[in-house]
Amino acid sequence: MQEEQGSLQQQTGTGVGEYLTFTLGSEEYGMDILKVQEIRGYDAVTHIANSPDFLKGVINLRGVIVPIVDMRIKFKLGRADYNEFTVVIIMNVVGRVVGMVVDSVSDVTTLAPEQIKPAPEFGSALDTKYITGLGTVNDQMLILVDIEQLMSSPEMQLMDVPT
Amino acid sequence: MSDDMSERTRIYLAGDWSMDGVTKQMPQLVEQLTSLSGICTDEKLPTNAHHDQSEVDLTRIEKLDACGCQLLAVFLRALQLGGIKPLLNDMPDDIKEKIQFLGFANELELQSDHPRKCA
Amino acid sequence: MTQERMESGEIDLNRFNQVFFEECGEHLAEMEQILLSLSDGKPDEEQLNAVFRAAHSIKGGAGIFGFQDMTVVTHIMESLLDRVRNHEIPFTTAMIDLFLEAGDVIAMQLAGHRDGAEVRQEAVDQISSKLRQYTDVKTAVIGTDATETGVTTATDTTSDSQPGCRLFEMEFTPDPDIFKRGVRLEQLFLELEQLGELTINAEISDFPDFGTFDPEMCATCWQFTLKTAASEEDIREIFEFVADEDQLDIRVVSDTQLSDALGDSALTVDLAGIQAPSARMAPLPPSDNVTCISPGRRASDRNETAPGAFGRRSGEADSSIRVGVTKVDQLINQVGELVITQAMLAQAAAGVDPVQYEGLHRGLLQLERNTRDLQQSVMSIRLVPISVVFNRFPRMVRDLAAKLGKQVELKTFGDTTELDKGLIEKISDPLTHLVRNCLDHALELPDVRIATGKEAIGTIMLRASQLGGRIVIDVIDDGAGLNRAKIMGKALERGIAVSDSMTDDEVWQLIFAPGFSTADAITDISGRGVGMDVVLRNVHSMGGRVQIASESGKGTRVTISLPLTLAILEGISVSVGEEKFIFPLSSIVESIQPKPENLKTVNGRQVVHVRGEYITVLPLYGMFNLQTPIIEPDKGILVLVEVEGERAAILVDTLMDELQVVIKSLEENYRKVEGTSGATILGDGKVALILDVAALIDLGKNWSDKDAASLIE
Repeated sequence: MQEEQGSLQQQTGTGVGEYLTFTLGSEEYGMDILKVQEIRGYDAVTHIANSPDFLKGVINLRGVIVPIVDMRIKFKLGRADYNEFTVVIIMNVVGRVVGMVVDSVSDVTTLAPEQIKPAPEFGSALDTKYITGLGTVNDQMLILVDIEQLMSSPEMQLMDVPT
Repeated sequence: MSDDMSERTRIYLAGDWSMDGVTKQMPQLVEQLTSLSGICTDEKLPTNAHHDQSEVDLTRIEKLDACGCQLLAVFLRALQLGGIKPLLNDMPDDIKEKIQFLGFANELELQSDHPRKCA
Repeated sequence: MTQERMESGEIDLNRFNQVFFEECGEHLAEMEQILLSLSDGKPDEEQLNAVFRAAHSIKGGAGIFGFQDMTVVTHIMESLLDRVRNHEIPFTTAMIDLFLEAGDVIAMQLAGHRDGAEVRQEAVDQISSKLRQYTDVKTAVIGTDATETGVTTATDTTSDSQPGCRLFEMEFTPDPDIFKRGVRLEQLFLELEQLGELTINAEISDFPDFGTFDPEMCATCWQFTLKTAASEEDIREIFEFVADEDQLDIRVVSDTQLSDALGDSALTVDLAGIQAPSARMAPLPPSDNVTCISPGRRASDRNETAPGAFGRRSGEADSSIRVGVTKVDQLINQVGELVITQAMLAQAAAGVDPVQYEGLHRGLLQLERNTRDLQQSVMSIRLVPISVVFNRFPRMVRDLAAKLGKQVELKTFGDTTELDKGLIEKISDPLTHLVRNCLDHALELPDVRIATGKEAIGTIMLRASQLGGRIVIDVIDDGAGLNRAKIMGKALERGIAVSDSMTDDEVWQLIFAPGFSTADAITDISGRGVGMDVVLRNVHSMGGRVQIASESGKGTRVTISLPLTLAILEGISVSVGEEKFIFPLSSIVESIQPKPENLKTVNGRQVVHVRGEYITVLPLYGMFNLQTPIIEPDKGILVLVEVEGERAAILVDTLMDELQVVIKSLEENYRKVEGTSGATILGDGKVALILDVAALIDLGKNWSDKDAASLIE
C-alpha cells in the first residue's frame, strides 16, 4: 500500500489529494484538507434573527466574526445535540471563514485519483453537484464534497446575493 | 587583444527597451545567452576560458529608457561572464545619446576596447 | 508569471500615483490658501515664492509621472510667477483670480487622472491663453517656451558665470520599484540639467544574476555633479516625488574646492559629444571642505495627517512618516482585539478572591490603563485637523458672495480640532451645504442689513471644538434667522402636522423633513434643491446629531456633534432573552418603563403614550424571532429611539450597560443582517449585534398585524 502510493504520487504529481474525513449521521464524508483552518469545539453562538435553522449563529473567533452552520440540520442527518464532543470545522472558502458543525471528525486520508470513482446519481443527502466523487478507504465509502461549491451555493444563504 | 581568429557573432536587440517592454525582452535574451555560450545562467563560469567576440546591434531598438539601459548593462555583463566579449559598434546616434544622457556610458563601456574589470 | 508581475506592477504604480495625487492636492490647497490670504493686497516675496514652488512642484511631479497635460498650465503659470517675482512683470490684483482659476483647472486635470472625472479641454486652453497674455505682453523672448510642455525653463538660475555658483555632488539610490512606479528618470535628469552644468553616471554596483534578474527592478544608482547657482532646496524639489531623504545624498563642494575640481575638464559632459571618459567621475577628495547638507523639507512633505501644506511654511522640522490607511486600520483593529481580551480577563478575574490574588488584580488594573492609553494613541493616528475642511470655505464664500452681491466675512475657530480621517471626508459635504445655506438664504443683502441696523458685512462663523468624546462643529451666521411662520406654513403645505403650541426647537426640526428643501419656504432666494434632510442623513450616518438654534433678525446656529471616530461606537447594551444587542447612543431619546394605562392599541398596533405623543411599540423579540418571557411592554423596557424625525419605542427585556464598542463587520464572513449595522464583541467574548435603528423603524412599518399574530402561535 505504502509503496503503491509512493509510486502513484510520482506518476500523477498533483492528482493525489489529502482529505479530512468527517461523519454526518451514518455517512462518511471527505473534504479538501487545504480548506480547513482549524477544528474546535462548539461554543455558545449568537443567534442571527430570521436566518435559516441550520445557521446556528455567529461566534467570535479571535476577534473575527464567523458564521456557524450545522450540517446535521441542513441535511437532516444525525441528531443536532450540542455537548463537549460537538465538533466545528473552521474552514476558508471563497475568501471567507465559515464554521461547520459535524458529528465527528475521523481522520486525514490520502487518496489517489484511481481510488476516486465518479459519484452516481444516488440517494445521498447531498446534491450530486456538490460531490466530486466517491472514495474507498479500508472498504468504507467516502463521499468527497466540493466544500467551496457547497458553502458558496445560494441554498446555504451564507453570502449576500448581488441584486 | 588578438581575437581576430575567434568566432564573431552578431546579436540583434530590437523593439521596446523601456519599462513597458523589458519583461518581454527577457526570454529571448536568456535564449541568446544560452545558445551563444552554453552557459547556464545560474552559475558564473570563470571568464578567461576564451574570448569570443560578439557584436551587439542596437539599431533595431525602438524605445530605450533608464530601465532598458540597466537591462542592457546587465545583459552585456552576463555575456562577458559567459566568455563573450560584446562589441557595441555602429550605434545609432539617438541611442548613444540616450545612453550617455542617462549616465550609462561607463557601465556600457561605449569605447569598449579595453576588457572590463571584474567586480 | 509575467502576467502576475505586470499586474502587481500596475498596483504599485497606482499606489505611487496616489502619493503624487495627494501631494499635488496639498500643493494646490497651499497655493489657494496663499492667494486668498492676499485678498486684494500684494504678495510679499515669500508668498510669491511659495506659490511659485507649489506650481513648480506640481509640474515636476506631473512630468515625472507622465501626466503631460498637467504640465502645460503649470508651466505657463510658473513662468509668469517667475517673472513677477523677478520684477519683470508687475503684480496686479487681477492675477489673483487668474491664478485661482488656473488652480481650478489643474485640480480638474488632477481629478481627471485620479477619479476619471471629466476634463474640459476648453477651460484648459482658455486659462492657458489668459496666462500667456500676461507673459507675452512684456517680452517677446519667452516665445515658444511657453507653449512647450514638460520641459522646465527655469529662468536664469543656470548662468554659470554667476559668482554664486556651487558644485554639488549627488548620489541617488532609487527605490527598487522606481521603474514600476512609472517614474521617467529622463524627465528628472532634464530638469536637473536646467539648473546648471550636469554630469551623470550610472553605476550598477552589484550585478544581478541574469537568470534570476527582474528587469523591472532598479539595481542602478546614479551619481551626479551639478554646477549651479540653485540651492540644495531646488535640487531636492526636483526629486520630491521620486526619492526619500535617505535615497538622495547631496553634498556641496566648497568654492575653493570647486576651482580645483573645475580644472578637470571631464566634469562637464557634452551631450552631443561622444564617449565621456570613464575617469570623469573621479571622486573628489573627501575633506573637511565637503559639507554634508542635512535632509531638507522632504520630512514635512511626507506629512499626511498634519494640516499638510498649510502648516508648513519654511521648512519646519516636524518630522513624520506617511503610512497607508490600511496599515493604521489594521493597528486599530488589533488594539480593538486587545481591548476585548483585556475586558474578558477583567471579567474572568472578577470571581477571583481579591485578597488572595491581590497581585493579579493590580496587574489587571494596570493592563486596563495601559490598553486604554494604547487605544487612544492608536486612534489619534487617524485624526486629522478640521482645518482640512475649513480651508476650502474661504474660496467658496468669496466666490459665492461676489455672485450674490453680498458682503461676507468668514471666521473660523478651532481649526486644529482633530477628528477621524473618515469623518473628515464625510463631514465636508454637509458643512459645505450649511455654509452655502448661510450665504444663500440667511445673510441679507448689504442695504437690507443696514436698514435693519446691522453692519453691511455679514459674518459666517465656523467653530470646531471637542466636548468630551465628541466633536462639536457650529455653523453660525448673523443673518435673518429662521422664519417660524413660514416654516410652519410650508410644513402644512407638505402635509406635516403642526400646531401653534410647538416650541421653536420643534419647529426648526421641521426643516429636516424630507422634501422640505426648497428655499422659498424660508427665504425668497431660489434654492438649489438639496435639502437639510440630506445634511441630517449624512450626519446621522456618521453617528452624529444636528441641532438648530435661531433668533429672528439675529441669526442662526447649526450645531453638528460627531463621535471622535468611526471605529468605535457609544452604545447601550440591552438584553432580550438570551441575546444581547447594542443600541447606538446617538439614536436613543430615552428609555421608559411604561404603565399599563399608557399603552393603547391603534389599528391592531400597540402604541405608547409619552407626553402627548403616541409612539409605535416595536417588540424586538418579535422582529428578531427571539424567545423571551417578556412579551408585554409594561413588563420590560421601552427604548425610545428617533432617527430622521421618526420615532419608535422598541421593547427589550432590560437595559444593561452604557459602553464603547469596537464595530465589526458581519459581511466579512457572513452577510448583512436586516435591522443591524454590524456587530461587536462583548467583554465575555460573545458577539452582539449592533442595531440599525433607522432600518428597524422601516422594518417595523412592514411588520404587520399578521406577523404579530403569528408570534402568538
